[in-house]
Amino acid sequence: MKQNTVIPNVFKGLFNIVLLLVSVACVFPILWILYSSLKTHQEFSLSILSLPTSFHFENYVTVFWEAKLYQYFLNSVFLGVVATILTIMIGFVSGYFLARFQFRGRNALYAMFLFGMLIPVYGLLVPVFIEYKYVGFLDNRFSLVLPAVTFALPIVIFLIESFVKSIPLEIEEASYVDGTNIFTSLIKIVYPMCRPIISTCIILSFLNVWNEFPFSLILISSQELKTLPVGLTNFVGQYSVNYPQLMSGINVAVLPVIAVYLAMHKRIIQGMVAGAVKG
Amino acid sequence: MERTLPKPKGIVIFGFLLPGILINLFIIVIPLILAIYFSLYKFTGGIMGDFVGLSNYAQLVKDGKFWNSFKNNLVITGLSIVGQLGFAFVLAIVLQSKWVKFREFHRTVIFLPVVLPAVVVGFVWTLMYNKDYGILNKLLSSIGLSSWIQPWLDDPGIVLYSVTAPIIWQFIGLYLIIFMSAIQNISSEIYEVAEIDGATGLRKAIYITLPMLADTIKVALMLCIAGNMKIFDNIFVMTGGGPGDSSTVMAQYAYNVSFGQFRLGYGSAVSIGMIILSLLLVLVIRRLMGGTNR
Amino acid sequence: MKRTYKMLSAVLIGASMLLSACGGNNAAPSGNAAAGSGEKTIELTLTNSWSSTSTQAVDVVRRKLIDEYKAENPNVKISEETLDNASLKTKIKTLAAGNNLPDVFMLLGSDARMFLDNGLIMPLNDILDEDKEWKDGFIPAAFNDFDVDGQIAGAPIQMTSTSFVYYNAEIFKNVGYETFPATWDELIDALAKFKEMGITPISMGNKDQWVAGSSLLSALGDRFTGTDWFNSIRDRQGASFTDQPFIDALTAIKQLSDMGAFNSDINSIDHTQQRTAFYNGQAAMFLEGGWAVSSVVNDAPKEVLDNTHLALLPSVNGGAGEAWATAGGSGWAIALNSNLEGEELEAAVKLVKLLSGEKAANMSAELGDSSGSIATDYDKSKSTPLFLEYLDLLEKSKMTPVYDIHLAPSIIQVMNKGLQELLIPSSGKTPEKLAEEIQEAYENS
Repeated sequence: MKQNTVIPNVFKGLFNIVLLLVSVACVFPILWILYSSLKTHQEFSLSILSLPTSFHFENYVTVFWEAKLYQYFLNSVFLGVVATILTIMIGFVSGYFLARFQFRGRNALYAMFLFGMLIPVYGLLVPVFIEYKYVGFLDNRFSLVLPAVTFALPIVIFLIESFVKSIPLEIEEASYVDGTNIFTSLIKIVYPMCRPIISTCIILSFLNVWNEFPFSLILISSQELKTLPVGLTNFVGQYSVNYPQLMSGINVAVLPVIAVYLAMHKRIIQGMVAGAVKG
Repeated sequence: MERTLPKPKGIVIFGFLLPGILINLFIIVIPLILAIYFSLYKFTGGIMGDFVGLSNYAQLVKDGKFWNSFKNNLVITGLSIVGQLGFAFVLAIVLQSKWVKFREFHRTVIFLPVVLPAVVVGFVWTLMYNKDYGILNKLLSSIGLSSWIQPWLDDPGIVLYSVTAPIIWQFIGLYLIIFMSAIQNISSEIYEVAEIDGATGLRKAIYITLPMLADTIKVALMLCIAGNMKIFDNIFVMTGGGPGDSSTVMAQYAYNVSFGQFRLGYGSAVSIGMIILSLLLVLVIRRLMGGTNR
Repeated sequence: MKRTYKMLSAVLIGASMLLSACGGNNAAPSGNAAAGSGEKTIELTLTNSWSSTSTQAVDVVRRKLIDEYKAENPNVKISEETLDNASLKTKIKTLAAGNNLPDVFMLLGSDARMFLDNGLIMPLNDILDEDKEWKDGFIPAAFNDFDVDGQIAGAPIQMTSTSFVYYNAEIFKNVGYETFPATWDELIDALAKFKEMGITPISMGNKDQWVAGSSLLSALGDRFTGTDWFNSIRDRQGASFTDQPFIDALTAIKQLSDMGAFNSDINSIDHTQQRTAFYNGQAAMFLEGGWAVSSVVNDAPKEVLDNTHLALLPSVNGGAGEAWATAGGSGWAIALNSNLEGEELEAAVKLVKLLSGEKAANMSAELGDSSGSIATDYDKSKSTPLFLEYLDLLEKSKMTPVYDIHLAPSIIQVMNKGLQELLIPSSGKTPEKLAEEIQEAYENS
């Protein structure tokens, strides 16, 4: 690429500055939550933006142990892992079949899966609650798995479907000629080829579960089974909010995801590049 | 589809698709049917009342507050299309250029807000907009633009734009990654040919990148519309739909009716109306764009 | 409803079999024999908003009492759910819609009638009558908010005014007021002088929409209309929201807004943030209920705290209301699920008594807060001057109804949203227009 000769250096400098500002705008709020969590409640009440005068790590000790955030944390991890695995399994298989085969009802089925993207969650809260009550599945360690999987499926099926379409057919054809059955071919041949897009699907579906609030609020009542987003509301009292503690809690919820993202981001971007979402 | 694999029996396909279908039935289809059922009743205060037929819907069609909230959704969606897709597209092209410093850093960092929960985003931005301590007003006054300082979340005339900014901010990263991936998949030969023909940066973007990305852009557009028609959490945290109804979106209105006023029958009708409008919008836009390849 | 269930059941049975394979369902019937002791274990569910990290008296006291209850009743297993206010309201409403309320939970005054009418909660009349000492321990007016045609919906856990003026006496002194203004005109005069000095006259955070309704309109409205008017509204005896005195009250609020008496971010900050400007000495006063006393004591810098005093809104010209009155009530109570019976009911009643009774009141008083019952015996030396001032004021004033506790939620939403608009200086919302809208919602409810 030879834009060097075309765009004046002034603009390049300007663009670089604008980009930096954009990036700073993206990181600053996270840093702000980070340092605010180390202030005392009174310090925070008097000035929202100032840096802490001394570091109060006890906010973390309080939220993690006394407010039992570790329990919510473990629950969220458990739920995140189970739901993500299920989402990927179901999404991978469904996406593959929708991409590779024409059958009656294929378009209707694809539309049904994507329809999930348009559903306003609060509109379904009461019906879902009544349904759960009826089948006796409320307040169970696995209660939240189903909605988590359901609402992550549309994007995952969508990504995998378009990815599979971009893979040439030859390799699979060869395996069928060799007499491999469809199940083995899915695991041994197709899955490895889909790895790049799978890592993107993993982070997206994990984020979806990790941050989910309304269903967690409604379907779970036992303190022992609560997840982080609902657990965090513990820091909001009836007539007062302890912001630094709330922020410590937010950090406990947000930092792991950021860490996972930073660890995986190269593969996620690779996955997106490999998948190159096309209609 | 020009070629297909040897097709497995229908029952095999069905078997593999069954888990996905079941889970969808359980969480979306059946509750949706229940919601439609509720919407035909006067259902207030926890006990089913009388069957009222379609009168909830008749009321909905005449409900100015509902249509006002729909209008707000449209404004937010329109702004997001320009702000998220447009800005992400520009960034994606700029970030391809070698003269941009810290490219890897930018790519990584701009995606970061995507991982934040909507509630946290709303919470953080509320404080950014704060009149006295908010970073936005501090920034404006420090660069000599004190006259631009506004009650960002208090003036009904601008609040809708104020609540849209964080939504745009949060999701630029997602579309940036989608566009960058698509751009990198455009064969470099095409660019080389274009450069021989004398195409410059801007013209390359308009005449090559844009058309080559058409399908990707259509998909991103659908994602953007679907996401913004049901937007709720950020705005709920920032303004609760206020002042008055000036930033109330459809999902907020459905929430107010169902959980604030506890009119679940009418609330269900609002939710169903919302789904119908979103679906219509998506279909109309698809038709206008001539559809994607399916 | 029944038929839908039948229709669904065919589909759901398959699903439920699948799910039960996932195991771990802890919906075990209560009343399992406890191992070893031979005593029966009683399980109770309890839903509340008493956050364990809160420093607010109402929360701290309840947390301590629940621990105490657990220690004294080892055979009762309490599975507790603690949520913030907004989540609590959403959850309780969903549970009510599914007829699946917790055994013991915090009930909002405005839900009381609906839940009782639908038979979801148990009227406490008989239980109260059986324990005279407990019943008589309550502040008599505390039951007003939970008395539905003679049926008592819950045991009140607080009784306070929702509208006190917290003012900085130092700032008032600077503009020549040694005491808090006694008339509306004097107040307006003082506020105008604060404006000139660059001080925010009234700091208000009305983002959550109830603050202007509970802490301003309910009290100011009564000054104009008198309590009889509201009783007539509540009992549908002919009064209307378009009556002139009510419009006058809205006009007075509009007057405040138009003169710039409020901070410009009034509708984007909440009631805890409204105190910040006051703590910094940048606001002369704020309006909030008695619950804020303990927060002010904890959070305000000493020089501000020493100058902070409490007052009622001043009287208005020609108003029908009494001067020594302010809006107040209990607002929240503890309710019992109507399904409870036998030993579970006994255990639940015991819990309710502990959480709402004399002991809770005494503990609250030492922390600077009032409860639903009368505090009889507490260490006054632990109380702060501001709390004593508060008690004194509470004793002298008559409590008038808080609008958003007594009116149906659908009316309240219109009123509170309209108030938000009224509080925007540039808005075209007139008091007359708002009054008409409220009246319309009232007639439709």
